[in-house]
Amino acid sequence: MTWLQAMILAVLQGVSELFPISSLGHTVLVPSLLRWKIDRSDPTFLSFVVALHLGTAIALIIFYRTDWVRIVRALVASIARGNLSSDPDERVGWLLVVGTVPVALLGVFLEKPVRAFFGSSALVSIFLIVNAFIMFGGEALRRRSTGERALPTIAWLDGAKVGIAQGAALFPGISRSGSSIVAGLLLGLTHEDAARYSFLLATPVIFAASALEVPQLFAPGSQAILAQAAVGGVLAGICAYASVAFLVRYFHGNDLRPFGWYCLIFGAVCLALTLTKVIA
Amino acid sequence: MKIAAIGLAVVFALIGVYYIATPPHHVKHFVLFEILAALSLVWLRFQAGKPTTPSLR
Repeated sequence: MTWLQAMILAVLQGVSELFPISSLGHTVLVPSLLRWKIDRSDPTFLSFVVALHLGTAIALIIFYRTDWVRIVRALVASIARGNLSSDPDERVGWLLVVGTVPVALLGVFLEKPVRAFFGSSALVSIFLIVNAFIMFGGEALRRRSTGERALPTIAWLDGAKVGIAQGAALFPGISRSGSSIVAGLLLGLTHEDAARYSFLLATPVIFAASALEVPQLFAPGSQAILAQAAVGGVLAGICAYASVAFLVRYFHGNDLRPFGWYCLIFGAVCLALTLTKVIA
Repeated sequence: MKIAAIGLAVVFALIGVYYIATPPHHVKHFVLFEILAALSLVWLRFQAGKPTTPSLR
């Protein structure tokens, strides 16, 4: 992998991890479109991907640092007291725990078999189109419902449902943030609250998954790309920070449909190119 | 319910130990099950706390 390829992948990961357009789908399709010969199962490439995810997770933690400090304090206080109060930060904290458990279980047990089975460019393109219709469908259903709810008022079971929806991102082409924002919208959350819950929910999953793989960065053979991994991780983090800052402002008055159109068009183009054997 | 919480904590902890102790030593599985064991203990703690718990809708 050249430095240019590494930096393009870092920017792609940083941006597409948080935009509801599937980072995994893009890291499969874009190298194919550019005809890069990258072995995705190569341990050195996997080490590089770990660094990009770690950079993204750290950027999310920095962006929501004040929220996390309040949430962790409220959780610790709740455990120390031995009961639940009506404090919104405590409620959001336990909703994050309830939402993270199902996606962690799904990720640990299903990630490898699902990705090995659905990793081809054609299937990823199809899932990208499916991702578009998930967002269109979510927006259509949201517009039909009337009431709006604040994040701390949703039920525990509903918090778990958003976590399960996030598990759909195991399929390359389905966006983690897209599916969880749609699930939040269907529960009656505003776009702003649904996006906030989605980004907070993504943080422990991305951070834990990448932090547990950090030893892979120092495995024999990985030293060759350690510099690329370090610079790529920082670049991915900067792009992720800029993306989440943009999206938080964007969802203040806008919806998911532009991302739906993007996924539909990009997925259809990639599917056509795959079926006509223009890309592998 | 306290028995259920303790039982779950023990079962999750043992499953985690099984995953790390036997090849191919799944670290992610181990960490996940130990966290689930810890959450079971939190559930136990909540049962011992003051009865001011809002309803778990």
